[in-house]
Amino acid sequence: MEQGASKIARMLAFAILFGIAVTAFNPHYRQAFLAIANGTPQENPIWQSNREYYPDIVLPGMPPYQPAPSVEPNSIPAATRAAAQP
Amino acid sequence: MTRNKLITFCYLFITGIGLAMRYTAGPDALGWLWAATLALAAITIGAFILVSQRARPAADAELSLYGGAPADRTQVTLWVLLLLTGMVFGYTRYIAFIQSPDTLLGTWTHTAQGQAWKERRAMSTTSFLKLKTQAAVTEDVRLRVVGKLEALQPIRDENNLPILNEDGRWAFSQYNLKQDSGEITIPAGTPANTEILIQKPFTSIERVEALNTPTAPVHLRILQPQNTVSLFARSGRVVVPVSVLGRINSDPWVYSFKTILSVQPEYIQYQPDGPYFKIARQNIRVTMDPATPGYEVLASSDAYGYDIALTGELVSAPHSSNKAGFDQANYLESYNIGGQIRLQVPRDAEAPAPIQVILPQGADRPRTGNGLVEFSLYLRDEIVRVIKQTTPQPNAAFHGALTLGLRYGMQNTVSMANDMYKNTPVPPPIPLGKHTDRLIADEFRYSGINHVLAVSGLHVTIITVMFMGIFAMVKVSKKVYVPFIIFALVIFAIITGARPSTLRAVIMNSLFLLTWGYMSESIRSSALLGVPIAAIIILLQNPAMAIDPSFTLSFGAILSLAILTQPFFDLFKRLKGNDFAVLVILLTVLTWAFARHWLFVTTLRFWVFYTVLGVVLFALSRMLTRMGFTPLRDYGLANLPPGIAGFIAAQFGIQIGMMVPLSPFYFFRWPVAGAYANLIAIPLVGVVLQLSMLAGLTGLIPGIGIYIALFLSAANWIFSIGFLLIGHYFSRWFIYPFMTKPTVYDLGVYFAAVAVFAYWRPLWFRVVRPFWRRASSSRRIIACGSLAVLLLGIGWGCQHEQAQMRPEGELEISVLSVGYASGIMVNTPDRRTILIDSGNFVTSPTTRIDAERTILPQIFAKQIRSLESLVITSPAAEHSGGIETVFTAMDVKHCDYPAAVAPVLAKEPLASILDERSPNRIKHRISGTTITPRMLTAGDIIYQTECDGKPFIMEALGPREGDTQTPLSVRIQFGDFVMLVTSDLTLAQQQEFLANTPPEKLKAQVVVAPHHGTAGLETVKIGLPDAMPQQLANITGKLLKATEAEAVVFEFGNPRPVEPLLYKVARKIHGLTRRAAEDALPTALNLATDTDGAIHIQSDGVGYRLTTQLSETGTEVDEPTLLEIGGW
Repeated sequence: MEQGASKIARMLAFAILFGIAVTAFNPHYRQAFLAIANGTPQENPIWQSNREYYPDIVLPGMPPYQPAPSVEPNSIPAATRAAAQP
Repeated sequence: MTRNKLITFCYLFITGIGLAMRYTAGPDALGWLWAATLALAAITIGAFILVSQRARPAADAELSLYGGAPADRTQVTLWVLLLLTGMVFGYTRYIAFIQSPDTLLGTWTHTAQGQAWKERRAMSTTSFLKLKTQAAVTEDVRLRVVGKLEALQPIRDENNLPILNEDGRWAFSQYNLKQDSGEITIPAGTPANTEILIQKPFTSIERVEALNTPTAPVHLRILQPQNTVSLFARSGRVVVPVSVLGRINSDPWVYSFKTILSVQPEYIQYQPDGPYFKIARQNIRVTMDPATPGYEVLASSDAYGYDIALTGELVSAPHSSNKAGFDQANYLESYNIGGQIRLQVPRDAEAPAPIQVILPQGADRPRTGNGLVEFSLYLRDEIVRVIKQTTPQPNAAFHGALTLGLRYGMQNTVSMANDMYKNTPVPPPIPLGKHTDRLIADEFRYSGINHVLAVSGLHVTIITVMFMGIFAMVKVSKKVYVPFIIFALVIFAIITGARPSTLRAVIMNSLFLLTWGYMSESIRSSALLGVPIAAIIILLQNPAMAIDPSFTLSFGAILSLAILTQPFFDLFKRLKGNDFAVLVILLTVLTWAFARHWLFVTTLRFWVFYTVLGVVLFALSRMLTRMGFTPLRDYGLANLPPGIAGFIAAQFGIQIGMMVPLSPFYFFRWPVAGAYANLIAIPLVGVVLQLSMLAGLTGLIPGIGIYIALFLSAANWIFSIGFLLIGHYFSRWFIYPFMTKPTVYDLGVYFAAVAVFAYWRPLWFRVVRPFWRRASSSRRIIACGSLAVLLLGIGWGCQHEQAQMRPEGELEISVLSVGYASGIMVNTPDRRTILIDSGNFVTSPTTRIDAERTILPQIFAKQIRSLESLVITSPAAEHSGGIETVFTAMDVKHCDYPAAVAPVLAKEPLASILDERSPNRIKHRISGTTITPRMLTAGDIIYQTECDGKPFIMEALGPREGDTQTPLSVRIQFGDFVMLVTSDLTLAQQQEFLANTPPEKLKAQVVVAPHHGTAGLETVKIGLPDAMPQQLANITGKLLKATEAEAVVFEFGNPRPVEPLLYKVARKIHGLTRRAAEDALPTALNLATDTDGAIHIQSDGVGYRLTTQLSETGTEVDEPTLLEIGGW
């Protein structure tokens, strides 16, 4: 068990160091770090990439989730629909 | 009770459930079954107490059964009693679960002496009534039931909402009314034990009155059915809405386009203004559209526990419309869901919302659910918030599914190799090159690593080990931290939805932790005890889970690991030096065949070649060893680090013990890549899961937590990209092949063989060898003979099963239900199979390949490995969309098509496939899996044979020579039975076909209507022409009349995927064509695959029998759908 514990400790330390390196070298993670540090988490590009993922879970201070009503294809004007055809 | 007895009891309980599924007793037997169970339990407990009071060491009992001292009668009796109790208990529990017990209220008899109503029990609540005949009814009986109704109506507030009291009970007004069933007629000829439902609510019965005087005695029982949700669910498309007062009893499933709620109804109003019924059990699945008023309140975890009032159409889930299809009704029933409601969005803004959250009186917020569940869901949402801030898509969806069981968040997540990610806010750091539209979930399925998304033993064990490591790191005693870890596992199970696999793993790990922490038991012995105990705990609550894939696969995996890993390790470690090299070569050859030429693997000639190769290589290896040529010396599996060697053996154990038999049984497929991908994926998922979990938990620490989570997630991003790439590339390198579905008998034989392999040592050393040494030569001969008879019997059994599936001398045709598309499976009387058309390939809004989803499962469920011919009648996608899927899945001898289809076959990838599998190419000639294309015109024979003197001929009736536009029409004849398939003939082509085909060739008992019943659509530009009904009557009606058919089959479904702009017109034309068919052939059956499901036709060459799938599954259908003619 002691061996397992030290393994986990080593893995954690390695993961944090590796994560710091990724954050330093990857521009998007860097922006994410800065957005959180500046107190503007909604500008975090990672958060933005997850906009559609569990949309009901929002950041503190953000307005509650408002779902977009589904669009019935018949309600789209014919000209718009025709223009959208490949 | 000893350990072995406990384990055996659990397995016998499961056996009892299996018996109940196979031989299901009616609800009447339930009382007797419970009595038998209790009596047996009492006798067994008494016997155990009696025996334990005798002064006899317990160890003797164990010895006696495992070969030591001879078993004494007392112990044998105890075992028999225990096994019997377990089995009867399992049987009873299952019957009690599936049968809603009807309460006997009384009996009514009518004899020459008069009538008598004898009440047995008062009604417990307001409900419908059931009449049950005790004997066959010989003449019409008319009667009525008179009683009282205590009608409940909710008290409403000023907003017209039902009132909920402070204590959470609905407030009702009660109206006491007289109730009368009206006249009930039981027609003459009604057999005994027939049940008649009286859909009028009663709260008590006063009397039953005869309205006529039948001469023969009549004995009826009057029953009170249990108020389950399924009793109030209606089938059909448009049904009367019901009102429900209930509570949301689980976490809502929030999608971007809909939300699904599980509602536990307390009361249901079946008819508008009718009384409310108190519901005893089952939940309702409610689907909401984002436009539903109040959606944002309910599309959130907070909605768990809310009291609601809703109104909607309560419909029962459909059964499968094809034989091997997914049966939604059974699936939902096993999850205790009795009906579904899709809430209608009100068109008028003033109209009341279909669902309302109800606050208890005096409260300013809705009630919440169970505190522990609320806490778990809160924790889950907080972790999701951390994931959303620290891990970009698509990795975030993967981490959510892996860590929190949020599989529905991954439903539409496309592969990382899709170009769309280049334009996302955080593009992947590694250019992936290849474009694909596949979903990540599909890639995982194809590469056999999909199991990581089902939260199971792997996840729970990783989390257990992680927590054990963390506690050990801070030097806490295991006796102290074990309860904390168990609590964390319970929270984890709730967060992940408490699926059977998770529950199994949590129960097992908790047992392991307890026995390890306080009793110092080993892991293996904990597993062997934990598996059956976890199983019995889950099955006691829901015995229908016993055949649910998530339950079976989860338990199969852990049993395979516990039982088969060691035998494989022992086997492989014997292979050292040259023998080890031979093992590696053989595995390499097998891998090559799996990846490059799967169809070869499915042939007998491959396995003959492979066996010969193995024998030759091992002989060569021995010879080289004797000569002293051993370049590897004694190197073997045992020289690898124990963790890696054990892991490889475990992978073999899982594949042989679980994946190879059970994956084809449930899914008709075996992810061959899984055997390889998991060697990397399982260690990697340990890292990804732990880091994701740690990031999620540390992210909850205020202040610094989110930064640590960001760093951990940044590292994990790289690892999980690696994982997604494994899924992507293994799904490209290997195919996801179809396999024949084993029968239950096949599985029994297979698992018996696996058990012999796993337990060969005790079998050999304790049973076979001692017997052989002691036995006389005559006994040896008898034993060998018995073994030979047993093996022959098993072989005969397998043959018998196959013969039953596809009987010799019988033609079987299935017109499959594949929507607005075509797929007809023909099993010839000489047991060959021909497939006419391959279904559609739809890519929008989601990918749907009929061949993959419906047609091939039908074929492989019948254990068919080879097609005599794939006949493609039309170039339209709804006929030819699945050609590639069928070609790559199985051996196809011929591909028959008209000239109109030639351009489709000339396109890629079909051209390449046909070229590669041409009879001129050596690769497929070796495996015997070549395809011979044949272009057909009128008069060409597709296949012919003779059976019992009756000819079977399948021939083309059209198109004529040189016609490159007209689809192929096919005539199938066996003896006196004829069926006509007219494919996609347009109105003009129908006229030509009628004019050019000899009238005697048109005569058929069954005809598949042309163009799905929408011929004429090709002439429509906008709207339905006024002349269309007359045209259909003149052309399609005339053609059908010429056939003189007794049944007309329409291959119909939603035309929208094929005709996105004209689908409404297509529906109208379909309706007109069916009317034209009724006018042309007034006595013929008029069937359609959208309402009747698949249509099955069997013929012995004299008569024929026609059945529909939905009538077979017991679903309500509008028309009589059984036609028996001639010798049947």
